[in-house]
Amino acid sequence: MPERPEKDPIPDMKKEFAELREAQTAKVEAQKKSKVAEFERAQQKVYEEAEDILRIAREYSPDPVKFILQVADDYAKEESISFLAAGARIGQYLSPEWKRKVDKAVREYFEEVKFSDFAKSSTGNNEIETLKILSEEGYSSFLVVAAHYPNDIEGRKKAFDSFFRATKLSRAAFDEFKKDSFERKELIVLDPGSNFPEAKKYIEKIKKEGSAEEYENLINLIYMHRIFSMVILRCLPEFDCNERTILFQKMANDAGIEVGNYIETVGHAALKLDGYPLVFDPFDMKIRTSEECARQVGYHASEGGGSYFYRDREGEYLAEYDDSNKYPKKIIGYRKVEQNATPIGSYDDICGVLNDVALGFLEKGDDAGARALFESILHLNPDYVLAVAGLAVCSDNVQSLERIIARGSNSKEALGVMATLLKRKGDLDGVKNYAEKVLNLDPNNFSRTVELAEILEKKGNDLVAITYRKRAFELNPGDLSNYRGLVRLYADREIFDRVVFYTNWFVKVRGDEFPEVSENLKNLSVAYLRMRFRDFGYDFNGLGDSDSASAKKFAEEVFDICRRRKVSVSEIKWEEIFPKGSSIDYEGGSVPYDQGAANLNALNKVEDWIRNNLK
Amino acid sequence: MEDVFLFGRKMNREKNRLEKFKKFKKLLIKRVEAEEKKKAEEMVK
Repeated sequence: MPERPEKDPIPDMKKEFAELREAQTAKVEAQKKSKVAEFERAQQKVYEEAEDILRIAREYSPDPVKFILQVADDYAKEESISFLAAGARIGQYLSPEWKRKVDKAVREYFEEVKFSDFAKSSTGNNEIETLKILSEEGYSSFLVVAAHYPNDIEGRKKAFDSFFRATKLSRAAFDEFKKDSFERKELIVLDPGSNFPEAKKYIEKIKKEGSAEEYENLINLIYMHRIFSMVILRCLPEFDCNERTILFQKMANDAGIEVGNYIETVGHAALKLDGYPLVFDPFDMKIRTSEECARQVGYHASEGGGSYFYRDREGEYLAEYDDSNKYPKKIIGYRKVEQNATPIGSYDDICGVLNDVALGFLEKGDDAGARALFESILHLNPDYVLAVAGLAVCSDNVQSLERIIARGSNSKEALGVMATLLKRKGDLDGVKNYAEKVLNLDPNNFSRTVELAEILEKKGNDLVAITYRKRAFELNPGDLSNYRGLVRLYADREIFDRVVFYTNWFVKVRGDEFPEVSENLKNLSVAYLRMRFRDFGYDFNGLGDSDSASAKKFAEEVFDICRRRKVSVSEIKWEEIFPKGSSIDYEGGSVPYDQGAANLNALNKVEDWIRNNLK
Repeated sequence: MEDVFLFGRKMNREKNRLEKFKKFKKLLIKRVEAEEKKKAEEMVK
């Protein structure tokens, strides 16, 4: 990879970009007209053929599933491919049921596959062929997950679990967004603060000259692009950027739109660039056509379809290839790729994309990189207020930012940039002031809410900080760092029921991923229970300090009941179960005193109360 | 909702798939015929 040039990193992109865009638009329009109908016809034919196969199998055989499997075996032999590859090539397209069967088999294959076998000449070629077919038939994301954990089978299985869970979650969020009214979508798409003039012109042109359907499709398409990163961030806060891009790809396939065409993983990148006309290449801060970018990393567009690369950022291969040089024979190593090229969609707001990348540079402390990008943005669109603000941040220039805001650019983004700048300067009051302004405009802004809470904590105003932490928790109950901040504030005040309450919520949302938090919940609940009993002054031998082992056992069992019944221990009203003054210990105990029976009796009472009073 | 850039590639994929399905169906019919022939022979015996 080339080093970033030191001199004059800003090419004159305006003209270049306009030409690229014009050519691209012409290409799109031409394709649109001729291909859509043809595509639908082809799809219909495949569907009919699949129906026919299922019908013949049903009519002929008493066990059609077995029969089709036999034919799949014939097919695999005839084509000299593996049975699994035949399933991926034919089986998965027969019906949704068959798709589920094949998905399961492919997942099992990828959970067990040993990449080291690829090097063996006896099995290697078959394995590579199977892998190639599976990737072609839509299972490339499975390969990418498996390749993250080449030698760690357990880790790989866990990764598959979280991969599918996250996909499901984000699909659900995505479906929610889809339900938004057209007016709302239009409002978001046409937001003047985030539209690149060329894109705006294009939208206006379609509104004026195109059909209503065409305009609606366009708005929907841009809207989906806009919300996608939001959904990803909301559902996958703990995933690293590489895993996120894989999920982009997976969801793009599932949702039927092409969003993440550039997959980059630990040490290897899968490129399928033809869906994106333009790519921002961070290695030398240039916008390229996808073909150029592909050539830059060694991909040849003439090969069609896309291919796999196993390289690190210096361009060193991390895999050995056979003659075709397309699929790796043996993977030598993995390295994390820090900088990703950013694909820019055909109708994307290019300044917005570049601005996001620049803010990323700023966060990493690479001011020079950020500055170069902000300047590039201003070449494209001199009125892009966020880039002006970004430049002010680079030079720590509060006055110039204040001028921008005073000039009427009171957008939440500009105010947010101001807050970032003041944070860099350590001006806590200033940050608080601007973060509050942002929240006035956008009350659901999670990161600014957390920012305010952090400032208030630093200033020692914990009570108000708790309010903001709670609000942030409502906005995103799965955020680990905010959850920790919130329970720390409560724990400092020994408000244990709140600690248990919020921990319970967090465990409900993300307990599977953080077993240590689940374990902690148990300990917290035990501590909380013991405290409550002492507070009420119960005459309960088992929970007194005199017999702490038995007390712990009782508390743990109460916790287990709560977990089984999916309620929080903090929801239990103890005074209703054991009214003050009642003596718990002797009620169920026999003579001589039997601690076990007393505990059991008390536990039954707790369980009865939960059954009758909580859901 | 589809990205128009993909149509060309997606269509090729569908066309290829159709070819593969036709081949699969041929094998399916071949197996049906073979088994029917076997049954008929057994009936004669």
